[in-house]
Amino acid sequence: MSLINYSSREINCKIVYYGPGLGGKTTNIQYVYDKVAPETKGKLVTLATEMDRTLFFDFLPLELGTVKGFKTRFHLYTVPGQVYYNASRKLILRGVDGIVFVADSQETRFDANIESLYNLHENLAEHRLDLAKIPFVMQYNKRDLPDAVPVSELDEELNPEGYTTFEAVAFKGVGVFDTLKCVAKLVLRNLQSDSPVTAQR
Amino acid sequence: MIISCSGCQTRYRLDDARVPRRRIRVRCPRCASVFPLDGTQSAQVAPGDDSLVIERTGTGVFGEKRREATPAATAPRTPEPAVEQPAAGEAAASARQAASVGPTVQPSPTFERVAARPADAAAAVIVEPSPETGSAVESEGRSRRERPDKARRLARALVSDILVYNREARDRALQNGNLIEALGPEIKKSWELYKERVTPEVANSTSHFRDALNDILAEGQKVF
Repeated sequence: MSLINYSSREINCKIVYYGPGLGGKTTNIQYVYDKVAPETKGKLVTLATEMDRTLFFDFLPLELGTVKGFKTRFHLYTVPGQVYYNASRKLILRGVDGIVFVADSQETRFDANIESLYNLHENLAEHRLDLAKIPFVMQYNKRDLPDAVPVSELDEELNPEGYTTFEAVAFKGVGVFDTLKCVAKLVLRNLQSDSPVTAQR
Repeated sequence: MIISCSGCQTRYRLDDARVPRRRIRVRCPRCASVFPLDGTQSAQVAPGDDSLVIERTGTGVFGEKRREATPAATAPRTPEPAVEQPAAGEAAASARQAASVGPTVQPSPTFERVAARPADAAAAVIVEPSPETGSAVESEGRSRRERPDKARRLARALVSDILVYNREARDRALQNGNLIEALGPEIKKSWELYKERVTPEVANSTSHFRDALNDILAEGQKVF
């Protein structure tokens, strides 16, 4: 849920990058961190194992301009993707304003994508949230790999609703900012159309 | 081409000409398992005698909407000439006959096919039911499959997690022939979670986890 701080005239939004393990969630926000101007970003917090795998989450605060005189600050989070770490994922989803699902295009991860998407639905339901009412963008990552499943197949299995999708090669930055811009726009639009969100004075 | 279902090990003969030259997914009419098939490779298993349905995928993540969105999938198609061609309405009977080669599994063939591209439809389906038979069997198969599919998907997701997080160790172990020893702790951890999630009864009464290990970790060899 977006937090609006009237005294400092700030809107804080939470965007969560979700998806199967090693799909490129951390790579996405690492790329964002590397590319944005120092004055617009906070510190990138990464809780990873010794093998650079996300253990709990990554966190990156980011300022993306102003809306009606309010500074918008986006907090980007990633979740650990392995099936095993569901408790962390559930916790990180609390208060989410927008979701990016980073799907791994490789054939070997086909079932892992589907499982992760189901898991997202389940975890949102536990927070009494519905994906249909949350700004949501789908990113098909690793499009450069030779065994990447055709986009039409990914669409068919993962995105029958027709959410906005982006093809990406996250480590090269392809599709990373397009995805972020799209979800940020959706979140702000949602904010304007919604009834007042939690206000903090 | 002769292929073997990763779920129930039933073997099927496929006309090479009908297999698209790319990676596809195939649904077994006997156990409803969907398994990948590399259409760029040729046959690799011993001869069999059944027929089957190739389809792009099973049910969508968000229910059945997707299937309705591809009307071409249920449209009548030209039967495969190289395979015994069941007359309209006899498809279910033919599949029951095919299933009788297996020891225990009840036949409940699924003749639906979900095509990603309508143009591929005729190229992929081998067995052809009448439209009426097809739809009846489809709805029956759908409810029957709901639970097993979920367990199977979880098993495959867990095992593919083991693979991607331990790829080097897996490659080494596969070469040295000590896959079970090398990845034992990881496998055990995933098995415990799998049992917890699908219930021990489902975990022990199905072969989804073992199949996923053989299919994904052992690259199709019967190691587990």
